[in-house]
Formats: sequence, C-alpha cells, structure tokens
Amino acid sequence: MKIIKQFACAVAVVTALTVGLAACSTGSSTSNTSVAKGGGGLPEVATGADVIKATLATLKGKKVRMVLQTVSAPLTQVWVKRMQLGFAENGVKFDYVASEFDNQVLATQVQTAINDKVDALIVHNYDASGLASLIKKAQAAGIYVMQINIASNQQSDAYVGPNWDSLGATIANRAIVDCKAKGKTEMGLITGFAADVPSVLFLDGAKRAMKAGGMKAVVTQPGQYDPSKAGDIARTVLRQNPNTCAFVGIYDVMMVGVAKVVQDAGKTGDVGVYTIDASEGTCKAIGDGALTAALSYTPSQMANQAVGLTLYLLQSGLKAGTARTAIFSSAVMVDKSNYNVPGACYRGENIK
Amino acid sequence: MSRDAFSLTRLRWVDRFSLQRTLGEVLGKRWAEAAVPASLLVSVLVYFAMTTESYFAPANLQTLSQSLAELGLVALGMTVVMVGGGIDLSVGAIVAVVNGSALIMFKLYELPVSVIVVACIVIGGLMGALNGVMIAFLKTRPFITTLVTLLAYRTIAEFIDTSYGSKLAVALRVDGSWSAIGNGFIFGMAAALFVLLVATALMHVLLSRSRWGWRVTAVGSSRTSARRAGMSLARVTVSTYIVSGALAGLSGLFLAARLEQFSAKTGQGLEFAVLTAVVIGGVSLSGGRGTAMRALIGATIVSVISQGLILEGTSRFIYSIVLSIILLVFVTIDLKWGKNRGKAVQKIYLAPGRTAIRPSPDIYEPGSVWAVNRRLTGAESIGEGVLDGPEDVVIDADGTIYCGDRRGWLWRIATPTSEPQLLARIGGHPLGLALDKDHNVLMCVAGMGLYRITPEGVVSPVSTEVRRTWYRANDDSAVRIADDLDLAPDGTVYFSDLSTRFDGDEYFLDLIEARPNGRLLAWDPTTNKTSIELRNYCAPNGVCVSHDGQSVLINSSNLYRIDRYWIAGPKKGQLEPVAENLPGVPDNINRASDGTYWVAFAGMRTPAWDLAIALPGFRRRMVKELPTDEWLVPNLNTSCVIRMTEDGEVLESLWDGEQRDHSVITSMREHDGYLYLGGLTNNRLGRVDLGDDAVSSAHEAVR
Repeated sequence: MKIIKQFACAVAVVTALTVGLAACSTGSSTSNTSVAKGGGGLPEVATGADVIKATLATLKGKKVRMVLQTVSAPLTQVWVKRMQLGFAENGVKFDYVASEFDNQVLATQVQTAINDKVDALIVHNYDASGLASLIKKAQAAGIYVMQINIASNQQSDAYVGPNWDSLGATIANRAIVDCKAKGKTEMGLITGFAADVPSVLFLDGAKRAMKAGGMKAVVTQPGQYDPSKAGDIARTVLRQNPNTCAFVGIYDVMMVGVAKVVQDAGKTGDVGVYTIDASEGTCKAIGDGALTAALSYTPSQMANQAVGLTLYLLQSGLKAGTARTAIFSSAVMVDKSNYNVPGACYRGENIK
Repeated sequence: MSRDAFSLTRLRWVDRFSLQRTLGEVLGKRWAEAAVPASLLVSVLVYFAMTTESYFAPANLQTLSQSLAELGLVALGMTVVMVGGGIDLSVGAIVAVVNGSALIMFKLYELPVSVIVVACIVIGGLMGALNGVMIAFLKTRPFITTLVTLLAYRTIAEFIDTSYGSKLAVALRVDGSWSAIGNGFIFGMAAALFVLLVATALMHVLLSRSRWGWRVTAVGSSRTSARRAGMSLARVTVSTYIVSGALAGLSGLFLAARLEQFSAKTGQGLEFAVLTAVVIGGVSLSGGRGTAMRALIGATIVSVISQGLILEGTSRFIYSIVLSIILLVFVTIDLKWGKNRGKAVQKIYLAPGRTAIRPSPDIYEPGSVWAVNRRLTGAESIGEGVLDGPEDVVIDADGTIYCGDRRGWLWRIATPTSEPQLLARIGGHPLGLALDKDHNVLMCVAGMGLYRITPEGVVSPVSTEVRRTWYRANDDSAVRIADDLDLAPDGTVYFSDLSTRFDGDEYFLDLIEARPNGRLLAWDPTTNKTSIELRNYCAPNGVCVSHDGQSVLINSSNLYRIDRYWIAGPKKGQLEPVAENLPGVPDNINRASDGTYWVAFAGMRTPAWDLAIALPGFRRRMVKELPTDEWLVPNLNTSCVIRMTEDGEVLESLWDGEQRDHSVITSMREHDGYLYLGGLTNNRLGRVDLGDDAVSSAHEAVR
C-alpha cells in the first residue's frame, strides 16, 4: 500500500509542477524528518522561504545526465532546452550526450554516466531489449533512470513519453475517416525499426483501429526513420496497389519522404500522408498539402514531465529502481485547420 | 670494461649528443615506424588525463577495455587482410550478423554457450571466406567486393532485425558463462581484452614467424614475385579473409554477450574506425607491411580517443571528424614515409660534429724536420699495373711480399721483381695486414672485419662482431671498417674499427662527420672473443704494438695525433698521448728496425680543411646542398713518411715531391734495409733503399 501512496504523491508532484501549482497537496506521507522515504523532504508546515531553502539544499550538487540518440533532431533539441531551463532553476547540474544513432556508443555513454556517478540518468532508449543490463547496473549503483519517448522492457524508475498505442490508433482513425470519405479501404503502415517499442505499439494501435474500421493494410514495413527508405516503400506500394488511400507513419521527418513520393506520383490529395510527431517542417508540409495530418505528442510537455519526475525522485529518498512509473504526454492533432496556430508545430532549438 | 677516449676530442660533455645523429639513426630503424603511433598514443592519453577528471579511474578503464577488445579483434583481422594486400570493408556488417545470430542462438534456441562461441567464429569465418573466394577466384577487386558484401551482410542484419527483432527484445535467458564472456572482468579489465591480447600475440608470431605469415606478407608485397616463387595466391588470399571474418565473428560474440541487444545498425561505421586504427598503427594500405602489435597500438589509440570524447561529452560528430583527420594524416604519412624514408635518413644520417683542433704546425719553417725532399721519388715499382690499391704491405722472413687490393684480393709477390700472384679473393676492401706465427696473413677488411688467409689461400673470418652497446640506436655489433692491426706478444690481435656509423667504403663520410665514432678492438685467440678496448676514439687508423710489447700505438686520422694504449705492465689500460697536433693525417704506423716507428701520412692538413672541420654548420650545409663530387674534403694524396721515436719526437720526414708513381702513401714496412710503400689508390707497391740509415737486419714482422 505504501508504494501506491508513494506513486500517488509522485504523480501529484508531477501534475502540480506541470500545471504550475506550488506544491504536493496530498500531504499523506510527509513527515518532519529531513529526507522522508517517498516524501519531498519538507516539513508539514513551512514558509515559502523555508521551502525554497530546503529544496535547493537537497538538490544542490545533484547531477543529471541525458543520453540521447541525436541532438540534430528538433525533438531532442526541444527536450534539451526545456531540461536545461527546468534543472537550472532548481540548482541541478544537467548535461547531455548524444550517440548519433550508434547503439554501441549509446551503451558506452550510459556506462560512462554510471562511471561518472551521476544522480539521475535520462535515456533516449531505442528498443525493447536496449540497455537492459545497463539500466539494472545503473540502478544498482543508486542512479535513478528515466526513459524518455521510448522504453525498453526492462523497467526503469520512470517512462515519460507518448502512449504509442493510442497515438497509432488515433492517427489511423483519422486516416480511416478520410479514406472512407473517398470510398477506399487500402492503407500502408510505415514503422521505425522492426523491434523498437514505439513501432510495435504504434502498429498494435493502428491495426486495431483499421480492423475496427474494416480497412486493409497493403504494407507494414519498417522505414528505419529514414525518409528515403520510407519513400522507397511508398513508391513500391503505389505501383502495386494503386488503390492505396493513405500512408500512416510513425515519424514526421521520415514521412516527409513518403509525401515527396506521393507528390512525384501526382497523387497529392488522392493519397493522404499521416504521421505522428509535428516538428517545424511538418506544419509547412501540411500547409503545402503534402502532409495530410500530424499527431503531435508535445515534446516540451514531455520534457517538463521528465524534469518534474526527476526532481521529485532526487528529493524523494526512494531507492533507485523502485519507483517504476510511467507518464504519458498529451497528443494534439495538427492539420489544415490549425497548422498555422502558433505552437502547433515545435521548432528545433539552438542548444549548446 | 672498455676505455672511453672521448676526452681526446677536447669537447664538452654535451657534444657527445647530437639530435640530428640520433634522429638519423632512429629513423633508420624498423621500430621507428612504431614510434609515431606509440607517441601519438601517449600524447592522446596525456591529453585526456589533463582534460577529463576520471580518465584513469578504474571504472572508465574497464569500459575502455571492453570497447577496445571488440575493436581490436576486428583490427587484427583487418591487419592480416591488409598485409596480404587486400582490404575488408565488410567487417562491421559481419559483426552485426554474428551479433544477431549469437543472440538468436542464445535467447531463442537456447543453445549451449560453448556451441555459440564456436558457431560465431565459424559464421564469421564463412562470411570472410565468401569475400576471399570472390576476390581470389573470381579476381574481383577487394575494395569493391567487400563493399558489396558489406551491403549484402547489412541486408542480412536487417532481415534479422525484421524477423527476430521483436522476439529478441522480449526473450530473457540468464547464463553464467554468457555473462562472463560479455561482462566478466579479470584484474579489473574486460575478459575480452585478454582474449585480444592472446590473439595479438598469436597473430604476431604467425605473421612474423610462420610460413603462412611470410606467404601473406609476400603476396601483399608483390603478387607477381609471390606467384613466381610458387605460392598459391588464391589459397593465401582466401585464408586472410577467413581470419578477418572469424575475428570479426569473435568480436560480434563479445558484443552480443556484453549488451545482449540487436539492431540493424550494430557495427555501422566500424570499418572506418578499424581502418583508421590499423593505418595509425602503420599497417600499409598498399600491402606487405604491418604487424599485429601495431594493429593493437592503433586500435588502442582509436578506442582511447572514442572513450575520451564520450567522457568529455563531446558530440559524436567530433569523433568522426577527429578520426577522419587522423586517418587522412596517417594515410599521407604512410604514402610519403614509405616512399621517402630512405631518402630522409640518407639526408640527415651524416651529422657533422664539433671539433677542437689546434692550428697546424708550420711545416715550411726553414730547416725544420718537415722540409720537403725527394727521398721517396723514384722508388722502385713492384707489380705496377697489376695491383690496384694496396693499402698495406707486409713482408715475411723469407722476403715474400703480401699486399691487398681494393678489388677484394690478396696478392703474394715472391721477390720485388717477380710477377704478383693472386693468393685469395676475400671480398670487401682489404686494408691493414699482419703475419702471425703460423705464416697466415691476418687482414683487416673494410665492410667485413678481421680475416685470416692461410699460405694456401684459405680465407676464414677471425672477428666480425662484438657485443652490441645497449644504449645506442645504431647497431654497433658489426665491425664496419676494420682498418689496421698488429699482434701483441701473447697473440692478441689489436685492430682498429674506424667507424661504428659508416660502412666499408664510406670512410670519407666519417672523416667529414669528424665525430669520435671509432674504436680499438682486441681479438683474443685463446677465447676467440673480441673485446672493445677503446671506444669513442676519433677515426682510429694505424695500429702498432710497441717495441717492448707493452703498449699499442694508435693513429687518429681526424685528430692528427698518435696515442699509446697500455696493454701490459703497471700502466695497463691507460691511454696517453705520444704525438699531438701533427701536420698531416696519420695513416698506418709500423715499427722501424732501430727502435723507432714509421708513420705514413695519407694527406697533409690544409688551412681550408682545418677551417671546415672547425665549422660543423658549414659541413652540414655542404653535404646537404652540394653533390658529393663538389664537397670540400680533407687532403688525402700526399707521399710522406715520417720516422718517430718512442716518445713521439719526429726524427725525419721522407717525401716524394713529384707524386707521380705514388700519389698517396698509406703504409710502409721496413724490411732488410728497404722501405716498402703501399697506397690506398696506387697501382703499385714501392720500394726505396734506406741506405746508411737502415739497420741491416730482418724486420721483425713476425711475432
């Protein structure tokens, strides 16, 4: 029961931080000890000044490292920017490294973070088996591990990212509606890698929606997050299945490649291109009509949630590896109707 | 213990050292090639030690050892292929396929770990064999072939990812020996690292000592020659790719066991890192050159840089940039170095040194002992036109004359008027001569050492090497320019080795360098060992045992002096001057019949050369900028013989003012009232009647 209470508090803290409230309001498990297990470490009654002093004292000298796949994507740049701001305000030292899609390097970077004895680690993991042993190793060394956007089966202290299953279903449903309006039933699904968790979940959600909508998948292939690979797939599909009415993919940068192929085939409008994620170029593509709709999973919110959870864990006194929680970021559909609303698509940040 | 004669140069202690000379000697060494990567490794380590806090922390070294092991094994395989004249770009893809296969076998089929280990090596070997077969039998180009297989194997990896990826992600199996392979540590280092070390040692021996290794090197150096030597090019080539594939397979196994994860991108770009590693290590891209040890050094450098940049949190792009710059630099070095090393060494090897020579005595002073005369002019010619360059001459008790010949021969001349007979062909450049009690001729042969020629003409080496000086870069074990010799009463042969830095016919270079490069050696007939008696002696030339047999007189052709080295009696082992600052270049020295000594001057000192020898910078420019035939060189064509007392007092000088028949006199022997004259470049021997001056007795040439 106690763990449930801890989780309740954890979720409450995050919610509070996210929506801008001042403090955890459950008050159920706080005590007067300086570091309470699962609590925030504050006394039951404290002045605003005391809260500031105590919190900053607890967080002083804490190190958080983020290990990313890349820093050249708008998505990861937004994360880094939000985290830099969020952690700096709380006096926590934050830095990041990127493997540039080299999984062996990613593993070595995580190992190096363990060697460096950071206090918390935020990992942009890439598949279900990825880093399993290293996550355990880090937690054994007392490091809180958060996984952002993608999580492995090896559970860490927290997963912060989209509900990929729901995203898959939502975007597929959008495509189904459009297809039905055209009286067509054939759709193509393009995932990332075969084994990465988002792809698997995305596919589950999308297929479920298609089954319910009576649609047929003409292709289900991994585009490896690569515009040209995805484009190749789309080109083949268009040739073999001229009745295809939509391509639904997992990553906007990759799906721009598909949109290009559709455009080249002179089928813009006939064949809809749907994607998850909405970075800057996506809104432009929607405006051009190349992309039909994009489902944004709000990366800045995701990053804020990760900051909140990390800060909570750092103050909680919880043993690393015991929190094991997950928070999903919200999803916003972007299409012709709202693509020019400021903030509909996020921009990459100039990070240092 | 040998005696150091450096002080005779009257130079400072620091003048013992020369950067240029050391550089010239070191660059000439084969191991110098390894010095560049080794120093790069040290500087990279120093850099990261300074810029990061925890580079040498045990945890970081552990992490480093894991990635080094995986990279190193692949680099080892690449080295074998490259020494064999090929290249294997498919290694990264082989690692990926084996990594995937290993995980499928381990997690999905739950095979025993020992089976998986063997299977990984076999799968890798087979993939390598495919490369090899195409290259060896279909005669496709290694670069393009392995580029194609790189893509093909990568497709297999993608197939594994698509078909097994999700299953692998959820399957879980725990096995002790599997974890030991991937995450086992010995002495705080990855177990895989020890596998790499053993593999490196093994490959080093195989490549450098085994028949297979020599064949690989031969094929890589020159396919044509290897084929003409009867080697099966195809078999050798295939074997290198199999080795490369198998080692990549082993690396894939370690990777699989360490991270237990698979992605289609595993090992992507590995071929680039591996190529950089081996090229840094000095493995030549053009084949035939490289060792396993070098590959290890190169792999260590790349791993150290990779881990250092990860530790610094630098962007991964920086790593790629650093690696490409290093690769570019070393590829250029590989090309330039391979082509120009010999030339560079040749250019700086000769390193003129400082000297401290005093002004020459004035030989033109009226009435001096040096007054030029014609006492050698018109000397009787012996063997004119037959002999070529008899540097030394020796006469036995029967009056038979022996002399060398610069064509590598030994002549015997029964009487001064008889036709010379060829006694033996030795080779090298015969210089000083002596007769032992068994009537054998002992001969100093420049470029070869000390040799013995029996009266029947049988040639055998007596002393050709001494123990090497451990701290010298140059191998000084060979007797390079054996110059002159004499026998002590106990039969020990004392002989000079003009230079430890220049070979046989390069004695001129030693004179121009003017450093104390020479030594006095002693060969002991009872132990058949040769010892170094004097080292750091400047151009030791003539050697003569004194009349009392207690000391050896030795001529320095560059310091224009004669020294006495005591070999017996109370002063044994001491060195003392006999004559200093002579006006000429003393060559050979021999006993005269009246208890004095004859000394030949190969040349006279000139103000120009005296100035040149005082200016090392001038000589350095000269040898660098001028062709050899325009060099200013010491005068070496004088016909002058002097007679000197035991104390070094010059009693008389004998000259050939014309220098027509005997352009240079390098040696003289007194025998039965005659003085026989030899010359390094003369085409005859000479003989002059000493007349009243001579003591009419047989010269004790034989001891």
